[in-house]
This record gives sequence, C-alpha cells and structure tokens, in this order.
Amino acid sequence: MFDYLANPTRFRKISAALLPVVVLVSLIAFTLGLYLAFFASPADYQQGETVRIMYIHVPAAWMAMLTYILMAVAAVFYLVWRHPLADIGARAMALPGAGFAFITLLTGSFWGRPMWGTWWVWDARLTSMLILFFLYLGYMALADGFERAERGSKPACLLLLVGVINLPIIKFSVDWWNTLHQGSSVLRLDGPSIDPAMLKPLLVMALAMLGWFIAITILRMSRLIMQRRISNLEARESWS
Amino acid sequence: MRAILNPCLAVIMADIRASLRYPGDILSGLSYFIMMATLIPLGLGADQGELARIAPVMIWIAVMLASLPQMDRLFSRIAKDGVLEQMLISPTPMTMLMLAKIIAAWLIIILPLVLAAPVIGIMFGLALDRLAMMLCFLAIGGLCLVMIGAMAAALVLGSRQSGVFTAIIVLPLSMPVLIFGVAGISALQSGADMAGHMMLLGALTLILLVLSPPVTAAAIRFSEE
Repeated sequence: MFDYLANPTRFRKISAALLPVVVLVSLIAFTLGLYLAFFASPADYQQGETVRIMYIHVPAAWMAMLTYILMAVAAVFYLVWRHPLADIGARAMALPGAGFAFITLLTGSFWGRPMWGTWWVWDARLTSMLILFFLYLGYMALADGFERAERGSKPACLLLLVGVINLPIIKFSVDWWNTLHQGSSVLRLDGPSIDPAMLKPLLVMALAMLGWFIAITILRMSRLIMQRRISNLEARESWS
Repeated sequence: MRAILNPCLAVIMADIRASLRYPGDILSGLSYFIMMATLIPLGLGADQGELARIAPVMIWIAVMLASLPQMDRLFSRIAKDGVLEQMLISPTPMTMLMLAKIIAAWLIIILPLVLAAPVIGIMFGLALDRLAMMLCFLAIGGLCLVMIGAMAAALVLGSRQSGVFTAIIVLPLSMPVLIFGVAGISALQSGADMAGHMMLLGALTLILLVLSPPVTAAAIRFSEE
C-alpha cells in the first residue's frame, strides 16, 4: 500500500479526493464538539466552568504527542525506504504538531491561572510539553537549515528518531523531578475515570482536531510537492 | 581488534595534538566558564547560603554552555581538510572512529572544565570535602553532553548557520543530564544518598553510548553524500 501511495501524482489524486471528506468530518465534529463542550456538558464540581478549557487542551495535547510519533514513523520510512513522500509528510506535519503543543501550553496556562493561581508552574507534564515544543522547533530548524532544501531531510529525520528514543527518558526524568499535574483520567488500565458526559465532547473534539490535522497535512504536503517540482524545473532550466 | 583500536587511538592522539597546538582555545573556553559563574553573584547578591543552594545548577549550566561552542566545531575542521572523507572510505568502522572522536572531545572539552569546576565550587561556597564525587558526576554527565553534542554537530554539518542549530538540538536532549546531575550534586551537598542519581546518570551514559556513535556516523555519511 505504501509503495502504491508513494507515487506523488497518485498521492495528489487520492488526497484531493480525501480532502473534502476530511474537512467535512472535521467541521461537523467541531460544531458538535464545541456545542457539547460549551453548552451540553456539565460544569465540574470542583473546577466549575473552567473545565471546558479541557475540551481543547486535552485533544491538543494528544495530537501534539501523536504528531511527533507519526513524524518519527515517517522518518523511518524515509531513512529505510527512501520514499521522498515520507520526508515531505514529516515536514508537513511539523508545523501543525508544534501548533498543537503551543495550543496545549497556552490553554493550560489559561486554565492554570484561575485553578492553580498562576499562569505557569514548573510541573513535570507542563515541562515535558514545553520540551516537546522545543523538539519540534529543533526539527523545523534543521530541516530548513540547508542551502538546498532536500539536503536537510536526512539529518532532520535522524533527529526525529533520536528525539523519539529520548522522549521517554526526558519524560521519566522530568516526572521524577517534579509533578503537580493531575494524572490522566482517560487512558487508564482500569477504564476511564472521567464522567461519560465529559468524555463524549472530549472524544468528539479529538476527532475534530484529527480531521483538521489530516486536512492541513494534505494541503501542506501538496504544496511541498509542488514546490519541489518547481525547484526541479528551475534546476533543469538553468542546466539547458 | 588491533586493526580497529590503532586507528581509533590515532584519531584521539591527532585531536589532542591539534588542540594543544592552539592552547588559547582551551583557555578561552575555561575563561568563558568562569566568567559565566562570576555573573551570577553580581546579579543575585553575595548571600553565601543562597549561592551554595544554586551552585550545582550554576556549575551544570556553565558546563553545558561553555562546551556548546566547542562541540559545534567538532567536525568542521576535518570536514574542510578532507579527513572526514578519508575516515569514511577507511576500512575501520565509522562508528568506532566516531567513538574515538567522542573520547577525544571529552578529553579536550570536558576534562578542563571538570578540573576548573572546584574553583567555581569554592567561589560559591560549596563544601569541598566531597569534591571527588562532584567531579565524578561532572565527568560522567560531561560524557553524556559530549555524546549528545557529537550527534548534533554531525547533524548540522554543512548547514547555513550551525551555531544556533546545535544549541537548539543539544539543549532539549540534555535536560535529563541536567536534572540527574544537579540532583546528584545537591544530594551530595546535603549529605543525602546520591547513589541513585549516579546510577541513573550512568544508565543515561550507557544508552547514549549505544545511540550516539552510530547516529553520528550516519549523519556524517549524509553530509558527505
């Protein structure tokens, strides 16, 4: 299947057909999710109305982590099988991924002000997300850091692999260093401890963000493919 | 065995000789290290208790920042004069040669800083009776820093502006070193048990020992393609 999709022309055809579907799903999920999150779900008995920030905060945090893992998978595909499309995919995902990490930090800060009484605390989960944001920045700097765009691809993909190996170590060390954040209430071995009335909008919002992410990635990938084509044509022009 | 060991030793000796040719480089690294530490009391005030409390962090951050600019240049010279190409086509595995480069870099970059660290320790009022252990922490953590730095330096080889990139790549990855290193020295100061921190730092070193030389070698190969 990957060989089949790895042809850029075919990829563009399929993704062009996929794009409206994903956008539609994402729009519907956003509408439904935002309605559920802001009007049709109960306020928390402790956190009050501020709990609604969670419906943006938590899916964004999931997406920030998922995106980095997806980029690392793309990096493996690029380094092992040399599919240029995998490199383009990793590049396309980096900016939305960094955006998700930033949204997580920003919404967390908005929530922390009324709840913890401060915009920022040096807590393990916050710090890990900040470091993840830094790792995105490092990848983007390295991928675009060379005179010839493609020259940055392999080092940047290698950096993604190093990052994904180091991520658990960083996470562990930071956890060990300091933790104040509440534990996860959705991804637990004994089933989610979150109330179903809150879980539903959360999952819908997660679906909305996933759809939005796929749509943005497809758009960015097509743009990068076009860019490469243009620079290839220009290179050929200057040769003849 | 000998066929691998000899070229590696040659690489280490060549690097040491090259650095001894310009002792000013080592001296300027050391001056930077000590000047950084001088700035903190000027800003924070001369309260001895306060200074002793932040001393472990101060020393670690000074080591990280003072070693960064030198780590950045780890491969730039041998990339220019063609030694790197010779390394790639030589029969010795590139991974082993990179390990030799890492050991040499530790001797040239980290060891002088570790030896100068007691000076900063005295300036910040650290108890010096457990000095040897503190130096052990710095030496082992410094090896981690060099291995991370070697990966970063190889990855950015040939990029437009390598200095900033190396920092952006190195610093997030070195955070565990900072955390365990500072916790270890702090525990040492307060007389608490620090064996756990030493073991964690040791585990990190072993992981990097497996990870860093092959990644560095691969990144160099990309840069020479």
